[in-house]
Amino acid sequence: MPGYRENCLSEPTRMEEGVSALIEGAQAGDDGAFEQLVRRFYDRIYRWALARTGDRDDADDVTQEVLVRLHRHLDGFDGRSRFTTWLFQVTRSAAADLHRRRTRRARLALRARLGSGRTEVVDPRGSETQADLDRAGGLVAVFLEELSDRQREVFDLVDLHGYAPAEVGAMLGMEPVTVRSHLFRARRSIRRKVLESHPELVEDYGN
Amino acid sequence: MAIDCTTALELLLEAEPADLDGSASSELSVHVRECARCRAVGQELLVQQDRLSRELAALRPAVGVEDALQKARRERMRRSRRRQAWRLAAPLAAAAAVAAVFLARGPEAGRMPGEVVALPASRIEPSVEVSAGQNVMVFETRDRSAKVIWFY
Repeated sequence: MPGYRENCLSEPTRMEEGVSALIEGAQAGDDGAFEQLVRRFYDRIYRWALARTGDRDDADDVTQEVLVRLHRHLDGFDGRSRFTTWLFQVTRSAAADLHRRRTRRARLALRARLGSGRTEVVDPRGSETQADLDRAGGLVAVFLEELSDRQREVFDLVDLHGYAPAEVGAMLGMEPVTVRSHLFRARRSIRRKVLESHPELVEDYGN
Repeated sequence: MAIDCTTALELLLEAEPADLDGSASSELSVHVRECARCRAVGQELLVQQDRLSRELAALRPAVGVEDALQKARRERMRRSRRRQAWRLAAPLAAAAAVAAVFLARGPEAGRMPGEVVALPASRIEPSVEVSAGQNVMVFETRDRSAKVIWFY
């Protein structure tokens, strides 16, 4: 699988190339450097947000919030960790805040509905999500819908972007063994789905 | 072959990519190299994972990066204005609250709220020095021995 290997093994290192100069420029107040930095990581921030939230609309909101926070907090980046690791944490924090806000809003809405005698529960993620998933295809739907937040993040970072489990453990604050456990469960869900859609590959197993 | 196909299929569900294409040195990898059926499964799993990776990469934010930058700039300015307003309003509100406490605790506490009290002419006016860029407010109280001085 040449494409898979090229995509996956070199990404963490490739993303860091030439970033220091942009960071220094942005920290010194150079708007151009800041914008270049954002352009470079914009899709990556979105992907992290998508892996974290499992929802495209939420990922959009988180991505937008990260840009605001990046401008405000970039001075605090001291280069002791990889920039991608730091930015990943900013993204996770923004996603966590969004999740808290959504949960609180949903709880208040539910309380209001219960108070008014209406008891139906509305999915706070909105009605477009399912249509988006249907369009996106079967495995994407499994990735977004069937994996837990942790499984999705770990699988995305390790198998789709080539981060080492130990590094992912440091990024997510998990023991490497926990990372592997999430990774295996994620692989199992995704691969089972693949085999379900290709029954001819496994039909004579067990014979 | 040290493991059979059923075991290999079970292992393939969690295996590393290098085991899926038989390029590692594990038992599973050896089996995959030697068994066409399991090799086909491993190859398909890799192909589909690669496809998933490409499909996910094709999902882009609803807002383009230039629009997002512009939106972020506006949001930053809005938050900055709000922070400035708080920076000014919070000390004033706090000072007003402290002053209200002192006024309520004055020697003529029995007076009605809002009643005008003539201060004696002999009251000493305070002289307060502040460094450049710092603001100060001085509140008179009904207690001769107390003034509220608020630096912010």
